[in-house]
Amino acid sequence: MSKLQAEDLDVDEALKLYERGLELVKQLDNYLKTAENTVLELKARFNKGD
Amino acid sequence: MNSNRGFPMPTDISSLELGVSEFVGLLNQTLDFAYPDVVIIGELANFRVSKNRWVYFDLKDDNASVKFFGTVYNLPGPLEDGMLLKVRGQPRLHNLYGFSVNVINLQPAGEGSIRRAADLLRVKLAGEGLFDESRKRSVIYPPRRIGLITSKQSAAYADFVKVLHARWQGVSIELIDVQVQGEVAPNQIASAIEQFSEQAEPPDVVVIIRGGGSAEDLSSFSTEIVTRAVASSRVPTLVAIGHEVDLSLAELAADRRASTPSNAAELLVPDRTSVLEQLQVLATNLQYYGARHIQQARDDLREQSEVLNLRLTRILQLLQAAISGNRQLLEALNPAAILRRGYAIVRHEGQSVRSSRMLKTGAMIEVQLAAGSFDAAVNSIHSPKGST
Repeated sequence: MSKLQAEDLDVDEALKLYERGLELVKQLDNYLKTAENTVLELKARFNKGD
Repeated sequence: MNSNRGFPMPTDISSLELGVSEFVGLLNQTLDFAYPDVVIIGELANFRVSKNRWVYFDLKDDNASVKFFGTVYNLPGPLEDGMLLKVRGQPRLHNLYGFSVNVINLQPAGEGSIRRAADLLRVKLAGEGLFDESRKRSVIYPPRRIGLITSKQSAAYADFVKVLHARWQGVSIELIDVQVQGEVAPNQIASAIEQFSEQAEPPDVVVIIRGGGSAEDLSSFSTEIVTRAVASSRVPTLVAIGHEVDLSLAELAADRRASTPSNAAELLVPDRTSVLEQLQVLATNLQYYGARHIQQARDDLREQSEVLNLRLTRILQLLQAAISGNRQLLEALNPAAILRRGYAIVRHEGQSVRSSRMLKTGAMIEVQLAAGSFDAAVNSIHSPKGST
């Protein structure tokens, strides 16, 4: 993100960084959703065992 | 008269002429026949021990005194002049030293002498440490195998077995039947203790019991031979002699003492009924406290689970916020968003153009807009302000 904010950044380089940033945000979003699902699954399993 | 000893059977004793040795031999032969052994009771006098082996003393009463000869092995323990003794022995006429009685067995007689003899022996054995508390060993509780020394005909035996089996099952008793009073009792009791000690698999405990009786009846259990045998037993010992008030030296030397034979059984094994009641209480407590612990653990687990759940939720929320913030920042820095505000990207030969110095008149350039692009030719060049 700091590279993307640099003043002398080439516009084509900025486009590449932006694209890469979008990919990372998407991956993180998926990772977070997986983590949330895992937590929900564990809670359900624990409550079932109760 | 026995003619095998070489003396002729005289028809008239007064007609015989005998040598001194012959007379001594004849008299001893007569004594052997008439008095093979005698028991004499009298007051001890002139008691002395020679070379730690030979014992000499007199027994006397108001009108007479008789000499005795024996060995220290005949003694029941320390003696002193004035004691009343009961001695069994063989009357003999010695060819040099005159008449005496050779001691076969010797015991104090009368309650006072018996107690005095026991007191003297107690002092002697206490000095050797036989009664020290540090020598006492613990007795296995409850034992699986008991070595019992007593008279099988005695009430003490019956009481002991009855109480033991009423209280506890599965204990085996190996009995060595002995006389518990009288002349032969001390040797039989000591020998029985040794028998148990020498077994390849000795019992867990040796129990010596006897019911109540007079001081003389109980005196075997205060003799030196029995007291030493108890003290040196390889197997832990429990001794119960007489009633509550009686205390023998064997009991002092034992690892454990019981007041009566029945009390010996009570000390050896627990009461089954009492144990079952205790187990019932224990089981109830175990169930109650066990359930309480499990409930407590379950509550703790639930609480921890809730804490964990909250922390995870918080972490996920923070991560979600971080991702969302980065997405917004990224969108703000999107070069395409700048184009939507009317800016364009100018490229020449595949490279973005940052300065008019990168171009020449007539050069072909590509212009990219927010929507679409077009190619153009450079008509004229304007140098940046301030440049030459």
